[in-house]
Amino acid sequence: MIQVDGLSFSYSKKLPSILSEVSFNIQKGEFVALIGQNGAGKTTLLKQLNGLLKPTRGSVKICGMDTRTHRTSLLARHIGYLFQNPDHQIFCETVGSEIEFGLKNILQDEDIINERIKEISALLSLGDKLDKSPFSLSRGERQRVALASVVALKPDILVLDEPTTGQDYRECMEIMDIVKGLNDSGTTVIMVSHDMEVVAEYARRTIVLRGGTVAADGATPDIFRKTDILSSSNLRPPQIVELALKFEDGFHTVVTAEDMYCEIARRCGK
Amino acid sequence: MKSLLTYVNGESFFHRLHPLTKLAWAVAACVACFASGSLPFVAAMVILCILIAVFGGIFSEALSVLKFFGVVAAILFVLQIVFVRSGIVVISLGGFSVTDEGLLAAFFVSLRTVGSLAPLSLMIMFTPTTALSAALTDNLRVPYKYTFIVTAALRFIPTFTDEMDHIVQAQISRGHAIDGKNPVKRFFGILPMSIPLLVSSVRRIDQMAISLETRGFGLGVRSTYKKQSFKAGDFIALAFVALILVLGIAL
Amino acid sequence: MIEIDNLTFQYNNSDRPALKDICLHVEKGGFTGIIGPSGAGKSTLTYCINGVVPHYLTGDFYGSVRVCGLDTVDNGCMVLSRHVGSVFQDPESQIVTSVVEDEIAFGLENFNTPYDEMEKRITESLEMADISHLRHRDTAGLSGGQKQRVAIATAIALRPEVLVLDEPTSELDPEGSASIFETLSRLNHEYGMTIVIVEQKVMLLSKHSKRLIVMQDGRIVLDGMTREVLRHSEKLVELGINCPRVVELAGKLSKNGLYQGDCPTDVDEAYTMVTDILRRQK
Repeated sequence: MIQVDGLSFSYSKKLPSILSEVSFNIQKGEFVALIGQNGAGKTTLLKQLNGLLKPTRGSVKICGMDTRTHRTSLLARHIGYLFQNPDHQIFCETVGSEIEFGLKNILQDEDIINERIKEISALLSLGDKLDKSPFSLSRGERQRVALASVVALKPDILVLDEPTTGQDYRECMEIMDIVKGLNDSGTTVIMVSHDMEVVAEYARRTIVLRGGTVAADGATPDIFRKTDILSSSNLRPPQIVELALKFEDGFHTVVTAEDMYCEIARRCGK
Repeated sequence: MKSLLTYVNGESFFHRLHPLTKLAWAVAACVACFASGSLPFVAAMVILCILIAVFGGIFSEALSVLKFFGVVAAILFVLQIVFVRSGIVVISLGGFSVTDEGLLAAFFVSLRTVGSLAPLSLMIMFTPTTALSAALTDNLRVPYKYTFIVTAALRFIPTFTDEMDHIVQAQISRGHAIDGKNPVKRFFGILPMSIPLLVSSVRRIDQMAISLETRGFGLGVRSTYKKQSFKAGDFIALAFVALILVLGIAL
Repeated sequence: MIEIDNLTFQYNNSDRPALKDICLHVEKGGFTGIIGPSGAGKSTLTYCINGVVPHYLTGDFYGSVRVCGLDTVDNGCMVLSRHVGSVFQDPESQIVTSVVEDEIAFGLENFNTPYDEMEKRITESLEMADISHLRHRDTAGLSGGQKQRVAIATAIALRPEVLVLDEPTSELDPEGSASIFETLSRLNHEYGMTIVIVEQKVMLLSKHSKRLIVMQDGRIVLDGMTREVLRHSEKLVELGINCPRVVELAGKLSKNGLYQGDCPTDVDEAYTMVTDILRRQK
């Protein structure tokens, strides 16, 4: 689905490279988190995935298409990109026309378009807001509108840049549960997040970026147990993992409170 | 994207000049370039700007501004070639011909554009906005409210260019074909993007107003932290500025 | 230091009050965290402390707010700004100049502070916010965390007794957020500054704040020592608040009869809890 091969990138020859020799493959249906401190190259890597930035060396292939030879607006049918700030994305007068905007670029039949709008707005619980102005909504709702307009194109891959920033916990959970639902029905998800709890609770695979290179790549529970790599990347594992690591056996693969509870209950014979 | 027109930190001679000296130079150079009918003089002014940028240690930053002016100059260049029809034909391509007078006029207009805009941009790159506003208020008695508007506007240029960048990328990412080759299509595609920029600017300005309110803005008499006085270098520079002005009008 | 009594406030052009019957007294030298879902009235509460409400943002104001003995209805933002320093969410829109020291000077200039005094205060507030090394830097080139610390330095240059912050870390990465909280703790411990902060990151609050206030729908629903408030894990989850995961774990364990003791608030306490449970089973 996504093949990144020896990818290096810098804005110009004189400037130091932001990404160097990054390689990984992502299969259909994966849920991958990209973590690392500011300046590690996370957003730059995301922008490489949909061709907003092109490799200086190496290659990026999305569904078999090389990003150097395909325009971003064409790749958009396969890879949806949700920006951190929904206000950069929204500009139509109503929520409905906002969702319609992207669809018009790829579909002609008006009935199919209306059908799709109905479907997507139901999925993201925006059904009663289609006639409202996006700017009258709360930040959490605007984030959902932005997500709806991306998801409406039914991309195979969904890329999220800090989808939970600036939202309260409930709004954050709403967005993440929608994303999880899409992932369950086969959409490949790649997400940049600073919130290690969100990573622990949703991502099955985690890639750690440090200084533009891949410092670690593997199953989320294993990555959070590599304390030396995390601390040298200025990251801290989620609280539950910190707790688990205090025990000799490290509580195996526990990463969330739910995992921990089940494991304790099992050990107590319940 | 690198933002144009912001102050570039430094300690050069030009950085240390009094803001009003630099302002005088920018205005004089602009007037001189327009008043002058001499191509060599205008060319010399452009070269002078480049030299100042090099010796002020801001050449790489100035280059990105110059590129922008280059685009504007190139458009004017083409327009001049097309519309000036008198003179001897030098190149002829099918039904389209270029005359020697057309070429000369095109050269002049493009150089004049660069020569008159570059000094102003250089002044902005050499002068911290607060120093400029302080000088305008203290020396020229411009009310502080007006100078504040100018300095705040300059301060927000990089923020807004960044924001516009994000917006355009967000639209391309959802399949809006404004990354194509046709510049006219691109222009009209980008036009509606000014709405999100406007919305976020209004939000920012609202926040800023509240922040200013809690910092005593507009109380009345205010003091100035960076007071600068005219030094010997300023008088030499001002004499040079006067010379440019006289030469520009005379030639 | 801050005395809010029976405060109800409704913005003009709104159909319901943003704050309902708020009573809140904050002592000198306190470090108070305010949490709650969006729309709970947290920002409005901070605006009531720094005088933005009712002077800049207007509406129907009932009850009384006194800050350092000054009634906020009788004294405008400008008077209050010498007593209350304010820091807001978006670092970008608080910075109005291009160089760090000019930014700090800006507030002092507005109050017509003489040059020597300005020099002293700038040095002092940069030192207090732990950013002396940034003094001559361009504001545009700073990271979000650095920008917010500049905003803090700008506020404390006016020597306020209280610092009010409205989600100052919401746009920052974990490292930037932690740096803000370390600066705040320092101001609180070393300089005795009273801190009131609205924040979503409960983990950071649980580490640094002494008192925690939970708001919902314009009201204060929980108020107490941070550790005491965090023990109400069920209530917090119900309100949709992101409580520390060890608190969530303890909640699950006690709900299913595996644990009866006090709710842990950090990893060490949780470790004791889990070892106790496992030992009892053996």
